[in-house]
Amino acid sequence: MSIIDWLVLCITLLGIILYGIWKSRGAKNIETYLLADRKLPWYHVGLSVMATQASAITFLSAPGQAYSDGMRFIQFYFGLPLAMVVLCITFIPMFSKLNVYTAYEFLEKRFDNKTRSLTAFLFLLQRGLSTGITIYAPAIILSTILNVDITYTILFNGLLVITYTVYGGTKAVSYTQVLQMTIIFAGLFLAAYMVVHLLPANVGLVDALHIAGKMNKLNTIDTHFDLNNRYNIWSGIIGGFFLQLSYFGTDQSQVGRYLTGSSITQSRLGLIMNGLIKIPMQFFILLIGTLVFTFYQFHQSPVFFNKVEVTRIENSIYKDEFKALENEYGQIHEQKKAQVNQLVDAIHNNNEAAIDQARTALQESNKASNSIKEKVTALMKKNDPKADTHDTNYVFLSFVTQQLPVGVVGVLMAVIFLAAMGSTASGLNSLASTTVVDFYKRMFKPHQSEQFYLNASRIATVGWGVFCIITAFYASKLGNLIEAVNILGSLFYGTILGIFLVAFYMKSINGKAVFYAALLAQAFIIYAWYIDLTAFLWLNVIGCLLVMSLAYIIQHVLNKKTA
Amino acid sequence: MTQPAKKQFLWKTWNRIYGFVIVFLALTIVLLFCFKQYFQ
Repeated sequence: MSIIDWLVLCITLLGIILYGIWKSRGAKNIETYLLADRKLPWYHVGLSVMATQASAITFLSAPGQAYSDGMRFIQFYFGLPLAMVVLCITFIPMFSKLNVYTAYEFLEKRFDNKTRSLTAFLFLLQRGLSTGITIYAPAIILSTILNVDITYTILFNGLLVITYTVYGGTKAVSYTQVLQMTIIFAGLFLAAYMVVHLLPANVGLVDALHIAGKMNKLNTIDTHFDLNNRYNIWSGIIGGFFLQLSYFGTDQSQVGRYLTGSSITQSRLGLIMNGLIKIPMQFFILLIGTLVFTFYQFHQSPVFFNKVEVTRIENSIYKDEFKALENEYGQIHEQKKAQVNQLVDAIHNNNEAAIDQARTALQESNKASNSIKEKVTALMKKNDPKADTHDTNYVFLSFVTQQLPVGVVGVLMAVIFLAAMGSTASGLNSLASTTVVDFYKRMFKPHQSEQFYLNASRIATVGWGVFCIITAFYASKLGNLIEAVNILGSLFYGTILGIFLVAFYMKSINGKAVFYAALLAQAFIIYAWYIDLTAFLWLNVIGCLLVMSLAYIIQHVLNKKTA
Repeated sequence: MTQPAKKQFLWKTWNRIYGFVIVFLALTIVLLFCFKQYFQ
């Protein structure tokens, strides 16, 4: 990166952090620190909710996923608007009426303390691990650019977020997120414009889309029902609905965002805003990935995007084999270049037969390229079994740093950092509030002063920050990061959602029944994941339905015993 | 506006908003399908 890029990055990061600290000064009680006095308007709520979900992983992994796998990941978000409607109708009025700090407080009022504690514990486990991954994701960037050990970059990223989250609490998180999202949107448009701008002069946006489409990269909808297929319209609408309902309705990192709304209407409008913008935004991010794919049909892509691993293999005993594969890859690219130009001409002339011929030839060449990539990956694994061979996380990053002009690189780096900061900050804030409100205040130190709980919240934020940094050190072993976070969520969200749905809709069931139902369901879900029973999105549906049905059966048995 | 009338108005408005979100989702899916078909 050039000095100008570093300046753009540092000024943006520092400016936003200082703005957040300045806006959040003077927090004297736990309500201000954890819920920003419940005074924020709808657009703050909406942007904050979006910034919490859109982590750096969204901007690192998603374009890479579109590059290698096409746009089918968009279907994952189809359940989100429906989940927003259910949240507005059921969850928000309930949380507001009871004036809770965390979602789990509601469970004690409805069931008992042990159900509240179990749910809060499952949340802490899941969110603590996920936040660790969101710290790790941007740390890869610094590690690759500065060529320093990832340990130092994880520490830098983690400590930066901990600093302003500890100082300003929710207010700092929310105010910084509004600015972060503004810059993120601007950065995304800039990235899309730059990719199209860098295509050859005779290739426009529509041509680029035709090329991507003919290579099966615009596979936005898959109507084929298959329980083992991760992304199709059915898993997206049904599984995605349960996952999003659970994430937004029961995950404190999101509940804490919309509890800051100044009224029920403001909180609802914020969530509706999220429901309307999320799919177009994700479509846009994935589209950038497919445009990068088209760009690399005309320009040679590296055989492996992760430079650190390439340097490692170049300095190993396998360097000659690697060089030979790299040369072969280069030759195939020359072939591909000629074929893609034929395809463009055929598209311009609207010649269907020529389009089919060029498409088949290009698809064959891409298959050959992918086969060489697989050989390179195998070689890297042979050299070092611990090598990071999940290259999708590096595709977009590599494109930005190597192809985009000075200044734009700084802006896009800032986008990735800001996204990471937003979601990590919300994660830490929610972990601290759940620890203090649901465990510390409830079980260990009730009836203390506001200042006491404020200090406890700050200490808890630091503690969770340290935990997440330690987790981040192990995150590189998890493969595609965005999927890792979603799989982790799917392991726990179904059970948590099931508990909440029983609380809302099954009035005859009491705490004892739902507690044991949740334990059994959670054990089954972990087992189902372990034996790879089905695609992970369905675990949300199974977990939720299992809690509801088991709770019903257990309650029935308990009623019979007492009768 | 009386209190019950205001309540009725709010209820109708929110239902329209929720309806709009669902129609928006359906249209998005249809558009994405057309997008895929057109460029493939």
